[in-house]
Amino acid sequence: MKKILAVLLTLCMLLASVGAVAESVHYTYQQATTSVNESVDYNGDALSKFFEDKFNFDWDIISLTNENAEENVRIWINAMNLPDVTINNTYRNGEMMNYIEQGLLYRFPDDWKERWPNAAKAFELTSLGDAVAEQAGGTYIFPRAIFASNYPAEKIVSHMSVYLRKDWAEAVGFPIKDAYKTSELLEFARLLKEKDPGNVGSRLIPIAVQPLWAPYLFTLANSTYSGGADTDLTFYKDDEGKYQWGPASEDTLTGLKLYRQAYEEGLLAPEFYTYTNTEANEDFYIAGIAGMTIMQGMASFMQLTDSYVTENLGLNYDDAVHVAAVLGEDGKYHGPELINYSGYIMFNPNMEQAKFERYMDLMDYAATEEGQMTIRMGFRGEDWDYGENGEIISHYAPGESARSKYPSIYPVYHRLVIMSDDFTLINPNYAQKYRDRVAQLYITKNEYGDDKSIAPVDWNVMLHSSEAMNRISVAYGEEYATIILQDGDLEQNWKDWVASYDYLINPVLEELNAK
Amino acid sequence: MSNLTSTRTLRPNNGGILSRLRSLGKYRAIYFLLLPGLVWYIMFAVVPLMGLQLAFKTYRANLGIWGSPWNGINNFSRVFSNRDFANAIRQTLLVNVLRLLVTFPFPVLMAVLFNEMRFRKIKNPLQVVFTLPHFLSWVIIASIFNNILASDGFVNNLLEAMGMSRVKIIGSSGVFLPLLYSTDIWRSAGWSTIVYLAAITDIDMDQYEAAEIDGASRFQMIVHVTLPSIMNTIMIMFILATGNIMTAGFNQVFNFSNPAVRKTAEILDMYIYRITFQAAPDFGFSMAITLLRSSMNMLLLLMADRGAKLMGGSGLFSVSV
Repeated sequence: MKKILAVLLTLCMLLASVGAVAESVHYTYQQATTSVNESVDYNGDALSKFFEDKFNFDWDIISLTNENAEENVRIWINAMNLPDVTINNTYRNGEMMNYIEQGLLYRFPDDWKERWPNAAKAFELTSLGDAVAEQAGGTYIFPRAIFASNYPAEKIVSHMSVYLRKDWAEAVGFPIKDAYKTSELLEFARLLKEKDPGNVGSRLIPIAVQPLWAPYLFTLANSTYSGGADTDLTFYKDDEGKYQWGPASEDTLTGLKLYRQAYEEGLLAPEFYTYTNTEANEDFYIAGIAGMTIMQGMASFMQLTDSYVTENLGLNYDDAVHVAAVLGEDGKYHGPELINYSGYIMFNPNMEQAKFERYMDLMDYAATEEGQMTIRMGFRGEDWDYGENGEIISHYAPGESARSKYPSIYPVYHRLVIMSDDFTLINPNYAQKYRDRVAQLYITKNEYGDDKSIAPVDWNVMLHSSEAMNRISVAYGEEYATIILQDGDLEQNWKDWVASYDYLINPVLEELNAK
Repeated sequence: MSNLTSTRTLRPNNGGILSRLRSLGKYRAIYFLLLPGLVWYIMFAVVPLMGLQLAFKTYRANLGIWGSPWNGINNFSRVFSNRDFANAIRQTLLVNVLRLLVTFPFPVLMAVLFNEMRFRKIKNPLQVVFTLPHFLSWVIIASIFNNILASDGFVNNLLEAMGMSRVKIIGSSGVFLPLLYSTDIWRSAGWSTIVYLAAITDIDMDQYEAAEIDGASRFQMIVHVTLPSIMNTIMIMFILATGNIMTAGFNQVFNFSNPAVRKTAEILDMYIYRITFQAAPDFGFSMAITLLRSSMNMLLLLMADRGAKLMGGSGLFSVSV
């Protein structure tokens, strides 16, 4: 009997040790994402080591650029060669449903929300996650929430805003306001061109903007569903309840007319269509030859602009830069209300289950308050602490932040489950003036918008999935630039352009109207 | 008689196979040299041909190329009802027929000029200089030219310094095609010259001596000896270039294009690229277009070959190897 017991005990110990070994398997996660800094060792700093030791893994980061991300991801999915983890930016329902139906994405276990409740809570904030899961009959993608607990305004709208030279505005007598109509900004540009308050000479570019972001100044600023920039929500219901295509609306033509006016009057860079990445912004904050530019209205970008104008132009940010919202000619802020997500995570369908679970453990921890604080601020006690009233006290030197001390944070941990937009509003590493401005911009946009100009999400369109819908692919930013650059009558060019898409758009309108 | 014939037919066949096998064994080292090329050709030219079946299928990544369901000629029906496809065909023909007419004579001309150069010390370095651009990728070339020709680039700065006004170059659709052709000549003419120079070295020197005795000038020798002697090579190169009209220039056009010249730059390959990688992929549809494009290339090649023969040339398929 003793012998049997001894054998059983030994067996139990052996089995237990096998289990322990399984848990301690080290994983390397191939993760594809944009905004990667190739010079950063994402396994190198103390913060990354903390997470890697805690969850026994390391990173093999694959860099994607904004220009090639969608193409690469499409090729990977169709070649059944997705990295372990891929972060994609724009969600297109028809395309994703097609992939899901073919089993090209990893299916989360049905009980995942119970097993990883913190991650599930962040997931539910996005609305998109559950809506897609319901349609697909399971969870396949994990959208990342933009805001979690620090909502700046009732409706989430784009943070893209206009940065203008405050010192030049004052020099030419242009008023400083929270929001400007497109035509007012053109007026400012004309004044700059005429008076050249910065003595820039022939290099002066009154408005530095690339085709990708130009819609925020012209078409999208005037026409809620004209698409472009980072939105392709272009179908909407008109007053009679019939679906229409935004780029074909008269409001879009209004924006195009202003766009062309700006180009013909020489208010845009002569070859604005060749700007890539941040070149247009650099003309504003590095070269100091631009009167205004379109950029993210986030504290991090304001801080970055601050350091650039100080270093490169020897200017004081408060005196030289003003950030404002852009309104349409009707005096309203336009743009579709954003779904609370920015990019989504998907996994290789053949990923080992234990490897997926370990990643979910990491995401679950990252979604906790402790995890979020570590990601945003670094180590408690060393880099920051709570004050007597629960406020966050930063131990970083002025100008320093968790991101500068631990470069591995960005973008890997920074955008793991919840985007940084949320914490930015309370992050003490950003000066209060930036945080206040960010919140004010959201409030201003909400104040100037109404239920039509900032229309709520139409899930009927968002989740519409059909072959006809999949065939539509329009690079609105580029195409609008092409239209205004064409010779001849603008209105006729725009009508011809709209007509050229009839064969693709009409079938979708028919489908939506038949629903 | 029939028995005799069959015996005569069989014998050489048997002998042929055996002797070929023996020859294969004897020259195995030489055949071995052929192997890498053969492997490359099979892997990258023959095997991918299997993918052509996608033109008649609805591609499903989970089922693969072979397992995806057939859909008859649905993809082709869509292609022919697609306005963008027709526009792209028209634009491709315009861009590339003009390209052929403009760029094709340059390597011939350069080869003749090189041949006429008597100073080796200049001739050889010049040949190297003209050949080098071939090794630069279009990404590099486009960025160099875009910088030089930009509104604030070297050319415009020079114009301004000379008291002239700046001009729009890279955003002008009127300049786009000349820019394509001139950069194509700059990059490729030197390289293509090699073929013609090789053909020229094959010309019997007696012909030049005879022409010289008859009192022919150097120009007359070019017209009456050099060019007729390399005419077959010119014909073959022209036929091959014609068979490439529907595909030529994607890398170049892609890198030089911008929204201001989008309409001019919308050639077939740009269209295929957009529908394949910049939209929800529909590989069956893309493949149908690709198949049509290749068929058109084949048709153009055969037409050019026929035309060459009608003009008294040897054509592509009658040239002995």
